[in-house]
Order: sequence, then C-alpha cells, then structure tokens
Amino acid sequence: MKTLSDEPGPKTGARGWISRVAGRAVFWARTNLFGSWFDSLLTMATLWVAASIVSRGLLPMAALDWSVIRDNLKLILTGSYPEPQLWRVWIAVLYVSLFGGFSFGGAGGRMPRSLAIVAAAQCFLFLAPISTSSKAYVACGIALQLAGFFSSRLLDARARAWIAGAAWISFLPLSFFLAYGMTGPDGWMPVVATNYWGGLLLTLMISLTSIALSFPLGLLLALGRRSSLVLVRAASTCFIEVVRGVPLITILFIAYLIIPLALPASLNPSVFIRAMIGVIAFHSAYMAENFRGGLQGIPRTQYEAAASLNLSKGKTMVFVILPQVMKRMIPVLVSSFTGTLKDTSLISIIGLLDMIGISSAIVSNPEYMTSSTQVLVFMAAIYFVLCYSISSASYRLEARLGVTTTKAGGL
Amino acid sequence: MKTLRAGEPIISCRDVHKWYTPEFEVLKGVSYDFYEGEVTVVIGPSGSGKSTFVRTINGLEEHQSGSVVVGGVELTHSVKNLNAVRSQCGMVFQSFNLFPHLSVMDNITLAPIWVKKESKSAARDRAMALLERVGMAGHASKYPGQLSGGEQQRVAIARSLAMDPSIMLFDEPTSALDPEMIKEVLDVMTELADSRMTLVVITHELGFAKAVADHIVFFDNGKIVETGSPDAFFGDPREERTKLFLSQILQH
Ligand SMILES: Nc1ncnc2c1ncn2[C@@H]1O[C@H](COP(=O)(O)OP(=O)(O)OP(=O)(O)O)[C@@H](O)[C@H]1O
Ligand SMILES: [Mg+2]
Repeated sequence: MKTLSDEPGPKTGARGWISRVAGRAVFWARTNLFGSWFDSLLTMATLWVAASIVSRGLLPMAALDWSVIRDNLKLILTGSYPEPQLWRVWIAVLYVSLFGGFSFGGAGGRMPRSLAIVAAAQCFLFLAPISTSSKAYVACGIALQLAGFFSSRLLDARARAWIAGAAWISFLPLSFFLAYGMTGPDGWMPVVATNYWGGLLLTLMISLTSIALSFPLGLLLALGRRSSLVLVRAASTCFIEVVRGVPLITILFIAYLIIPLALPASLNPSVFIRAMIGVIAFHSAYMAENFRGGLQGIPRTQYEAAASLNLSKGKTMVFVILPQVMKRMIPVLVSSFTGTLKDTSLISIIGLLDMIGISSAIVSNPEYMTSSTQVLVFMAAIYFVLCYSISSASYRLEARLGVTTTKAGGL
Repeated sequence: MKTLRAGEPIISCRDVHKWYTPEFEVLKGVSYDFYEGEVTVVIGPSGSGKSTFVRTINGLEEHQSGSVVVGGVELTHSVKNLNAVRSQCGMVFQSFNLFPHLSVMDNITLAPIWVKKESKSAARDRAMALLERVGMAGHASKYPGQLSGGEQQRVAIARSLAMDPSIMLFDEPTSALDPEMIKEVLDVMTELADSRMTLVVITHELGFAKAVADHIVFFDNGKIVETGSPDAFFGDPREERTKLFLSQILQH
C-alpha cells in the first residue's frame, strides 16, 4: 500500500496543497473507515443511518412552522412570571454569565466546550425573534461573560478561587431573593409567589436547589449510616432504603398529599415547596448511596494513619477522607446532577408548570395542536444544552484534578 | 506525659489478651516492658500476632484483658487516655499510608496544625527541618504518588516525628520496598536510634536487628517465646521454637 512517505516530494502552490490534503484524506479514510471489509460495512451502514436521519428527520423538521416557539417563548422560559418583573430574572441570568465566564477564565487554555455551547445558545437567542429589551439583556450577558472571562485571568489563582466560590455559594439564595422579591405590590420589588413561577425558571429553581441541598443531606445520611449510634444508623438506613424503593412519581404524590396533612394548617406549604421537599428527599437518598460507595473506596489504612496522628474522627473526615471521596466522585456526582435536572420534569404531574408542564399546556391549545413536535424538540434542545454543559464542564474539572487519565469521549 | 520514675518502663504490657472473634485469640497473654531510649526489635513468623501487638500499644487495636500503660497512662476506652497515649507514639506502617491528596508538606503539617494547634509557619518550618533530617528536603511540594516507596516511607517517618512522639512504632517499614530502597529507610531509623528515641520495630531485617537493637522479642502463636540481647538471641537461642525459626530465616 502506498504510504505518505512514498509520495513525491513537496509540491508548491494551491494545487500542490490541495492534492496533498486530498491524498491525506484518502489515506485517512482508507485506514480508519475502510481498513477491513467489516470496517467498510460498518462505515456504509453508519453513513446510511446518518443520511436517513438527515433526510427523514432534520430536513422535514427545518421546514416546519416554528412560530409556536416564538409565540410562547416567554411562557416556556418563565411561565406566568409577571412581565414587568422579568428584569429580576434577567439579573440572575447576567450573574451566571459574569461568574460563568469568570470561573472558566481561570481554567486557562482554550475556551472550554461548555462555554462555547452556552455562547452559541446565546447568539442564537440574540438572533431569534425576541423583544428588543431581551436582546439587550442577551447582549449584556455576552459582554459580562467575556468581561468575567478575561478579568479572571488578571487575578492569581487564590483570589480567583475565593471569588468564584463566594459567587456560586451565594447564587442560589440570591436568585431566590430576586425571583421571590421582598416588598408589597407597590414596592420596587413586589413579591412574586411561587405559583407564578414556571417553565425553565421553575425547572432550574427546583433542580438547582435540590442539587445544592441533596448533596450535604446525602453526605449526612451516608455518614449516619456508618454511625456507631444505633438510632442514627437505623434512621438513616431506613430513610435511604424506603426512599430508594419508591419511584419519584410516588414520592411527589406523597409529598403533595401528605405534607399539608402533616403540617399545621397555618403553614400550608405551596405546591412548589412540597415538590421541592419530595425531590430533595428522593435525591438525597441516592446521593447518600453515592457517598457510601465513595467512602467504601477509601482504604482502612487511611483512617489508621489519621488515628495514629491523633486526628479526631471529625477532622479525619474533613481533611483526609472527604477530599479523597469528592475527587473520586466527580463523575458520579455529575451524572446525578444531570439526572436531577431531568427528573425534575416529573413535577408537572402534581400540577406545577415547569417546562414540561408548560409545553403540554401549549400543545393542548387547539391553535398549536399540530405543533407538538416543535415544542418537544425545543424542550429537548434546552435540556441537552444544560446537561451537556454540565458534563463537559465536569470532564474539564476531572482532567484538572487528574481523576481520570483517559480522555472522556467527546465531539 | 507524666514523668517516669527511675527504672520505670515507658511502655508496660501486662498479660494482654486479644480476640478478633470469640474463637480466635490473637494475643494470648503478652507481658513485656519497654524502656526509654531503647530499641526493641520484634520478630516472629507470619501471623504470630506481631502487628496486632504493636498496634495495641497505640490503641489501633483494642485489647480485651490485661493492661497496657504508655508513659504512665493506661490505655482504656476513654478517649482522653487514648489521645494521651497516641500523642506519645508515632506509628509507621508497612504501606506508608500517606494521604495521597496532600503534598508532602501538607501531609506533615496537617496534624501539627489541627491537633497541636501550631501556627502554619511554625509547622512548616519544623516540617522542613524534619524533611532535611530524613533526606527529603527537596520534595516538599511533591505528592505521594510522585515519590518512590523509600521516599514515601521517609516522608511517613517525618510525618510521625512532626507530632513530637517519645516512642516510634514501626510495623515492617521496609517490607514493601525494593532492596535498593531498604537501606535509605533503615539509615533514617538508625539515626533515630542514635538520638536515643524509644523504638519498637517489627522487621525481618536481621542486619538492622543485630546492629541497632538493644533487645529482641520473639513472637510465636500470640505469645512472646523468647527475649534477649541480639548477641544472646542470635548467637545462643534457648528455645527450640526460636532455633527452628532462625534456621528457617537464615537459610535465605
Ligand atoms: N482485623 C482482623 N480480623 C481478624 N483477624 C485478623 C485481623 N487482623 C489480623 N488478623 C489475624 O490475626 C493473626 C495475627 O495477625 P498479625 O497481623 O498480628 O500477624 P503478624 O505477626 O503481624 O504477621 P505478618 O508478619 O504477616 O505481618 C493472623 O492470623 C491474622 O490473620
Ligand atoms: Mg504484620
């Protein structure tokens, strides 16, 4: 077979360049796509499948009438959150843009894929048929993201870590404060009750909160399960096993129906709170199992070394065991984070209008009855952008912490 | 630590019994006294209970009857006593057991900072001095995974020394090492012995035992079978069991 080194000497000019590239392409295709009759067969089959997906799936889809998305974009993203108060949601978005850019700026090297995807989504949003004020916000977000990205490069690693840490820890409380508000109806920041929250806003509020809370709760449950106190151990084990033995739907129904009965009538928690409790309970149990697995991976000798240095049990956990557990658990944690994000779609079953709830409401409107495909595809795209950003950010984190030596497969 | 009266042993074990399971008695009544500034080498066949015995001394294993008194403090279930005993005993393990997520410096300073409440800078200064002492001064910012076995073991020794123990316990510190690294670790231990630190060493390195030890303790089947100075023990063993063991290991 002809190899690259057998090629005639270097040619000059555009023609030479083209023939060199073409030669290389043929060589690459021969070795990688048609190396054996079996490879060739696989290549042909894959090409056929790809071609049919494009011709029967994507092309017809592009030809559909997508006005349903344009008309309902506000609903899909924020539900019935009052229009005049949308600036508060935008501020939260801008905050994420700024510190998202900031956090990744410090990572150095090329722009990470997740950031690129988010940027692409933003540009898409900017070009999409949305109101001028929204465009202004999106433009502002892109600018802040770049500002964050480049400003973080001016700081040293320590300052960067502190600022990013503080920013992300305060993010959830801040966004709750922004979204919920504080003043009476005539104040500058009127309260918007949670039953007005909807769409992507609701999805993110519930899933981010349950990620943030099920993480420490799961850790406590896992430690409780290993406790030497019988009662603590029994209670943790019981909670974990019961919750894991029941589907999320059931837990949501239980939370919906039982929590109001269990609590005094004066409290009367909103459906939002009930759903949140259900989702958090469910995910803490799974998180506890993740932590248990991680804790089991640490050899007994580490505890012994710490004990021989007279470190107390608590300090051993904090300084010796947990840092090792966390590092190993990043891949598992990320997959449960994306799982949480997607599972949240089930809350529509107890009447909350998250993205899925909203979309079924939209397609049940006779005007949009024929547009269910478009709505579904749009939902899928949003979920994909979110989950793929999370997981590709985590590959980066893993690579930086040296968790995995092999490259995680990616595009 | 209480001050010892003249002639009082620094570690005193009286009729120590330990069971791992109700049927399996590992230590069958061990009594022995260790004196300050002396080097004791514990030898014996595999599974005879040497590790269990030494781990009992700093409370990593609990004994069920008998008494262990370290520096005047009796090992009981009380956490206070356990801490008092452990603060006097450093322990070096066969598999080093460094904390893999911490640099060499952080491995050494973790306990001084968080247990002894030393200031960060004081702890770092002392860590550097200790690294110097074990010949690892150039490796402070490395991680355990980047070091050879012998280097890791020397860092582990420095980590134990950083807690200012008066006794160092070694459980086969060179068994996991390649031959060319054994000497660098034994040299550090010899230097500790020369500085009159109390050492209790489980080892199969007979050269070290003969040259450095003040006493040899021979363990078999959960009991101390024979004790003596290295000369007497290796030159003129009394017990048949000892003779058999020595003939087996000297064959190699
Ligand atoms: N945690 C444990 N649970 C139950 N049995 C154990 C445990 N640790 C040790 N043993 C048993 O107790 C006996 C003594 O073990 P020990 O580790 O003290 O022996 P050793 O003299 O140090 O042997 P070696 O030279 O192989 O290290 C062995 O039979 C061992 O299998
Ligand atoms: Mg042993």
